[in-house]
Amino acid sequence: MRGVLLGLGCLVAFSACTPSAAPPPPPAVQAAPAPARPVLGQAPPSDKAGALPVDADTGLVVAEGFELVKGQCTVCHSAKLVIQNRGDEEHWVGLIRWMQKTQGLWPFDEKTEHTIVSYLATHYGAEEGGRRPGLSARLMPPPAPRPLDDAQVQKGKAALGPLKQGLMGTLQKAIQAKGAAGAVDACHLDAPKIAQAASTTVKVGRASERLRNPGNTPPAWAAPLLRSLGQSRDVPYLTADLPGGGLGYVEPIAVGPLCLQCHGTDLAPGVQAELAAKYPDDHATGYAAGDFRGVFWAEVPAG
Amino acid sequence: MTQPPRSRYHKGRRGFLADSGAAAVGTVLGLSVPFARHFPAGLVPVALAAEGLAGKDPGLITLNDRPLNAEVPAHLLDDEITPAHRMFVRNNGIAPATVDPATWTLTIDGEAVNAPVTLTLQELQKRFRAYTYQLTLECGGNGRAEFRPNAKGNQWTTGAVSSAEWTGARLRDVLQAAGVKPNAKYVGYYGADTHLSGNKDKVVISRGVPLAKANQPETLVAWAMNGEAIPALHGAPLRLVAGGFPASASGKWLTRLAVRDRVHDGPKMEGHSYRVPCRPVAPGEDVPDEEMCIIESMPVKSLITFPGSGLVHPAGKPMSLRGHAWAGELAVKQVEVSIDFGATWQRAKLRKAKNRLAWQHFETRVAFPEAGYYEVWARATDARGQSQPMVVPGWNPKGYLNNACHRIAVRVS
Repeated sequence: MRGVLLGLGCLVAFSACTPSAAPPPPPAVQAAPAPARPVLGQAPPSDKAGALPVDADTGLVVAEGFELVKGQCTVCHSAKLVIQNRGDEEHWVGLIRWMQKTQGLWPFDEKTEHTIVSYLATHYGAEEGGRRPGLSARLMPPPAPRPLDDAQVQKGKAALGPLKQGLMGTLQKAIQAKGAAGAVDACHLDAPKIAQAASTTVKVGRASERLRNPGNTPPAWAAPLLRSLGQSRDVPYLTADLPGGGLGYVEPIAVGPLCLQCHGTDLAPGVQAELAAKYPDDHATGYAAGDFRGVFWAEVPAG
Repeated sequence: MTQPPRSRYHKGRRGFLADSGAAAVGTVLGLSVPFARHFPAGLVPVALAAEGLAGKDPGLITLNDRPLNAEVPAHLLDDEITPAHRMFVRNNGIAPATVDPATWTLTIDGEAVNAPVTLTLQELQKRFRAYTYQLTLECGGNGRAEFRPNAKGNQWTTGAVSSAEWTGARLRDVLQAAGVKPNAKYVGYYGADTHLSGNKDKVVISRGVPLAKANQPETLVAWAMNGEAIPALHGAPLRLVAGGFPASASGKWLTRLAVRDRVHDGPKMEGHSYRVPCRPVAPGEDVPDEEMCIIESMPVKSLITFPGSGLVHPAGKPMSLRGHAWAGELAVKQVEVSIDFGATWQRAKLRKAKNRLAWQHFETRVAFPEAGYYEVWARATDARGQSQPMVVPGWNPKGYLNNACHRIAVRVS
């Protein structure tokens, strides 16, 4: 019954649809890697934070009515339009009526509509609030650290030594031997290995908000510290408690004169070609000497 | 003129349905989309049709991917002239898959022209003198996310604003090509974007400006942005640009201008779209259509663009900060900042605008008395003495015109 209704609704709503005469599509549309980009509203709604699973495709909370919402709503528009909004039953019914009146949404039978509306009003319900909501979590500074154990801080700092020296040594050698374009290749192959080799009981790595190597996203604990260090030149390092105990340590990486051959504004054609080949989604050019490039991070275990 | 880059965003995905039926959609998506068998031919499920933000700063925040809407975090709006890769995206429909500047035309018609005329882009560029202005464009719904009860639509926080340099002919010169009758009241635009449903007969959005705004020297029919061809997402190859008005008045992918003898009545001019209650209403109040008034000049506002919110700042050192301020059709006469939630304010250094309707830059230094958590708030005042409120201003059904003070959080330690 529902199928018939739906089919009819679609025919009425989209009878004017005609496929565009565009050239054939790339073979694997869904396999295209999504760039790392923050998306609002993908976290579970606040009232049930973390309590319910979230559908990987859409970001919708998986709960009673989920399949219906995914099936009916995301045919025409993104689930993000649902997730970023909040409202009570009346709010959501109002939206459905508006879509039916003006946007070609098909009619629902009573039970279908009730399921959809309850799902939305339960999991994306109206927000209470006064005259001015507080700043969102992503705009807040990292929490104030506990009194620091200086030995732990020194341990984190020392653990970064081999990583820095390993990277710098490899780069300088490659630039001398093969020029800047050759260094891109060396970095592409060797940098992940160097980070791995430099990790002992203290795990170390690099992270940036403007990535070249997509593997260098920050660990969750380090993300707010990375953001914060990017905004202040005067802080030598920041720390955070690690979720499983232990201390997280980060320090800023400033762009040096040597870095500009591959991260600056005027890149040699050979470097450009090498970057395009190795890092198709590169965001790490356009820097000037002294700019904030990202952080070195270390995870110092407790004890 | 360089050719604008062809859109990399839609071609493949939309073409997908050209050679695969509804059944294939289900196959490609696996079993994760129920009811795939009921999809009509020609409808591309969102999962396969999401538009991309290629070429944009990776820090942009996607609010919606069909239609594409993305805002810019405040700290990425630090440039004095907004570059293309840090410009917010607000699309109502699907941008044209490809545009060809060589064959692009603009038609000027409507009840209030003497003789409708169609001009090619080349004719426009040859026939009319080009002017360049830096023009601030802010989405009417910028700040919507803070209204309670929640307002429907894209939940913009602070990042739906830009101030780029636009180059083109003055709208008033272009309209003279068709001859404007004395009864002209409004200029409506039409663009080449398509409705989400795929229905080619459905106009996505057709707004515009009153004749007085059309006649201002800074209102342009623009073919370049920041000295280059207009990017695909921002209206290539031709865009109406009316700085100081809600950005929706600046029609993208411009194909037609209708000089009307009445207030233009295209989609999103009427009902509650881009309108606020003519008189103040209580939060959540029902407002009949006839009591809603069209938004024209945007209100006074400012943004701290450096540093970004959420930093740790060393105790004992003053902190430098800077940002932009704008006030729709007016100039900004003063910007102040507060580190104590408005108990005290200090004046920032404010520069004059590059030209009318461009945003102004402010900078100052603040000193924190001791370690701890602070918020730095900025408040601009326009030439007529109107300031930004610290709380969210008057509620309205669609959540427009939130010009509450911007603030950043700082931990001093």
